Amino acid sequence: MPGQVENSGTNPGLAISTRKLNLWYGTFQALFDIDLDIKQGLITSMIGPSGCGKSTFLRTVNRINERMDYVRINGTVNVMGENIFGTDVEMLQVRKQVGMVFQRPNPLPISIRKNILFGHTIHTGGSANKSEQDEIVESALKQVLLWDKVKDKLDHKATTLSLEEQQKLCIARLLPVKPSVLLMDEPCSALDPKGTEAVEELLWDLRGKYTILIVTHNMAQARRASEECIFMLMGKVIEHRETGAMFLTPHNTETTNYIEGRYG
Amino acid sequence: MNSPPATGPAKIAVRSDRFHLWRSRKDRIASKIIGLGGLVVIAAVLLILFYLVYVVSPLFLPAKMSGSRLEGSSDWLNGATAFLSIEEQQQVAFRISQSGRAQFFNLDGLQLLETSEIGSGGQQPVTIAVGDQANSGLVAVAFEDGSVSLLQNHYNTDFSAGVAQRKVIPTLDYPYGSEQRVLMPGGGITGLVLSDSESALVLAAAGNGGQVQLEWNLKQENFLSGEIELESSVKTLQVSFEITAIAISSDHRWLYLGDDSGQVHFIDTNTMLEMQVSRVSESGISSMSMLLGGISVLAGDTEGNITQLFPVRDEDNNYSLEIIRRFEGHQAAVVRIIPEQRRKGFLTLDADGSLNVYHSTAGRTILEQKLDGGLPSALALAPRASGLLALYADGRADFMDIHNEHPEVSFASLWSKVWYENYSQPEYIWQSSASSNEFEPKFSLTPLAFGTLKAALYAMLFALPLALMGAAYTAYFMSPALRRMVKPVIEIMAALPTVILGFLAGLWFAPFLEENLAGVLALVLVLPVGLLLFAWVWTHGPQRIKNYVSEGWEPILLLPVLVALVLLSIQVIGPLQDLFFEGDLRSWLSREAGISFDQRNALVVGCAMGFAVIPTIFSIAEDAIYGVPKSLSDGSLALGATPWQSLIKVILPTASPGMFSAVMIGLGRAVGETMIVLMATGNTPIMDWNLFEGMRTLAANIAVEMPESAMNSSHYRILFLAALVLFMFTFVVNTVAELIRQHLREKYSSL
Repeated sequence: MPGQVENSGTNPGLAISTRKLNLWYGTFQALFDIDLDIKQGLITSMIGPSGCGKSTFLRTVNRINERMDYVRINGTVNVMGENIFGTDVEMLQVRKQVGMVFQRPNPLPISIRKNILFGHTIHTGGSANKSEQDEIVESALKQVLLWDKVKDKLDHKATTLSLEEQQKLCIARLLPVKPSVLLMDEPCSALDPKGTEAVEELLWDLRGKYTILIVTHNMAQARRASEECIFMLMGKVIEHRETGAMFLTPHNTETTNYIEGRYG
Repeated sequence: MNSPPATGPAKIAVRSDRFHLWRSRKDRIASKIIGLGGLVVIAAVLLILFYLVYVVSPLFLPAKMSGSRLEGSSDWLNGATAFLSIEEQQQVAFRISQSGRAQFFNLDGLQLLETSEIGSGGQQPVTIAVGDQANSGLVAVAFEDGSVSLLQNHYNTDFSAGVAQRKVIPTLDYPYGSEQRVLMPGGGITGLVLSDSESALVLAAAGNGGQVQLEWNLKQENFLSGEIELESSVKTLQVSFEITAIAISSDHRWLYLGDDSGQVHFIDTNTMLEMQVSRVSESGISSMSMLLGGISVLAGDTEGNITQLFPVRDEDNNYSLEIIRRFEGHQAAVVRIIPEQRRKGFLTLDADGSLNVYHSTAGRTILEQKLDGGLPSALALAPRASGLLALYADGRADFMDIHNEHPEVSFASLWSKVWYENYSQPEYIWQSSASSNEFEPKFSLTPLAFGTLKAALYAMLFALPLALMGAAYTAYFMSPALRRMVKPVIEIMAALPTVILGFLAGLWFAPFLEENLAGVLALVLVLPVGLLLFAWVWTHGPQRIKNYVSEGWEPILLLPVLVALVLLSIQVIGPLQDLFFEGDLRSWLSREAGISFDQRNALVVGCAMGFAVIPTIFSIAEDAIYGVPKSLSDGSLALGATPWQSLIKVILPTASPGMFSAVMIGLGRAVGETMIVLMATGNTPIMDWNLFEGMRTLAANIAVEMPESAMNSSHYRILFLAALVLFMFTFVVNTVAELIRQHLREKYSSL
């Protein structure tokens, strides 16, 4: 595979692999020497108190951090074995591989159908004909378990859906692009328990086909909905283990303290 | 206010009821004051609208005529009247009876002031008497034997007893001698016209059997004594038809004869040959008169219609008599046409005693009224056209007050093509005044409205791309630090007084453009191509150099490039282009492309007004684009869209309500802009889309002409009408824009 760097540890089973990743917002350092290997096909959660760098890390993986000129990055990040900071790498291709779902659902103010097709049209230049487009829309909506609810109102504006349905739509619009990694930045924090449950079920369905990295403030969610867990504190990775094991027998005292709710 | 208790855990301090009452009262007072403020603003705008309508509405009010009988003893009013006139103050009237008496009398009480005999001791009856077409007071009296006497009535006003007790003192004299001149030997004068101009005194008489005698007296000033001497010559014409009416143009060049079959004959007095015959009706011509200015002839027929004709010149300097307009409204034959002395209107009397008032330019029938006393035997219109004296055969005298303030204004005369005198076809013309009283005011608002739209369009063409694209870049791509510097600077541009912009545009830019036309036009190509070329070179350039410039700061690089391109275009390409166009682009344009070039033109105005309008559009559009939630942008980028694609497909549609608002506000500003247009265009009211010609806008017109128009005149009110048109235009555009904006907001709301 082109664009590899020797010390990236290119294990084909790794979806995301970082080495010595450092990031500065201006003069403030947000990430310190992050070395992480996230396995393919698993749901990995990232927990930690506010400001520990979880969202920053997430936004680095799909390079959406770099819009601002005061962001400086050192180190390597490999996604599916390819260095995303390589000189001949197109941002477009990185974002094709890595999809992102945000905290607050952000459907575009256009119809449901057009939302789903937005990413697809960008990447294929709108070459699909109508029946292909219909198939894509149907398959994406079926995967997020939204097809039955919205199949009659595909041309309605996406903002008329409930928050939970909007979030599912945001997930659905990533699928036609066929990413391998899904990054989720607190996807359920704006939803009620029923909505949260629905989205968590969906994520459980999607694992295996997709690698899912989910940042969450909700430890209970991390515990019930992820297979591996990463604990970060003050820009550093403290622990990265199988979820059940980490919650039962944490190795570090900071982890213990956090899990037991001594600080938040 | 109670203080918290000294012991125990901290309690919430409770303020007294009085304090709460005061707070809520403050709240209510504030909300009422603010509500009142809003209402005051609405009231002020409505007041402006009402005032405009108040000043404009008299233009469209109908005219009124009310009459009353003059009381007094009128024993001296015996016999038929051959001639009647009133003087300026409408106090004294002049009458020539058929028995040859000239009488002055006061209208008040029908009191006879003076009387004298004219002609040879009053032996012969007067057949016909006419006043000078030029209203000098000169009267030609024709007697049965075909001789004519010329006398003049004039009036002095004596204010020695005060203005209210002014006395009008009439005098009668014979400026051309008291002997009678023989005009038609053998008598039988049926029609007579008198025209006294500075160069000649002309008398034309039509007699029985188709005879026409023209006495031409050239005036020569005796340089020794200063007196005017007359050099007389006589021209004759014999026609084969019965002449029912006669008129002569004020330049004495054209003689008009009406016949009993409804035709007007057009005769050149130099050759006394008939040049043309125009059929104006199927029935006979019953009366004819020249209009004020002596250019148009009005022919009334026995069906009750009046036709206006005047000679029109073509490219080969050949004149033809054209029928301009027709006026209807009488059921019986038109027996008398009286032109107004100071306006292009006229009164007509028919055989039933109906009096109509018309205006020629506006093509309007102003008034139709049947006179109480039936058909009068003599009619005189006051010089100000506000009073009419009617004498009846039974010795009765009636005086009519005419209230006809704005006859020249009608919807058609304001907005459609009008055929003005001396023009070869109907045109849209705005020319509100000229040096003489006989001028035909041309009040078409169409060239002004066209000019307004033309100026606004070119300004928007220049401003919209720059402002909108600048706003999109500043809001979405520019680094925040640079944006913090750029946005306030552009907003300060909005505070620049437009007088300065107009001044610079008219006095610096216009001559500069004229000198370097080729270079400036080349800029239109050179700038975009050059900038894009530089952008391409930069993106494919070495990374090392690119590292010196942080993301979002690239516009700084463009500044020197911009200056270099402008210099290149003007100094280098400009002179080069002149080589291609035979040295002078301007004359090449007018020769080959038929495009005329004016120094102060629409391109200058477009740039200057665009410059004034850009900060407004930029500010509002930039706020709209900046206000699109970042989450939408993130979502789009995360899906793999490039920043450009996100901008076009997501950001701009979401910001479209605000951007549309910005454009509409810019348009409103461009339409109402006065000073720039005033100083930078030629203020020529022409209707031409040519980029290199000037224009006159409604706003600039008001600014230029308002100080010079007579208060409450038609011109004054029409200027207010122009203001009302601007007001309504802005109101309608803003309302439509707001509706569209609401619709867009609902369509693209993302919450």
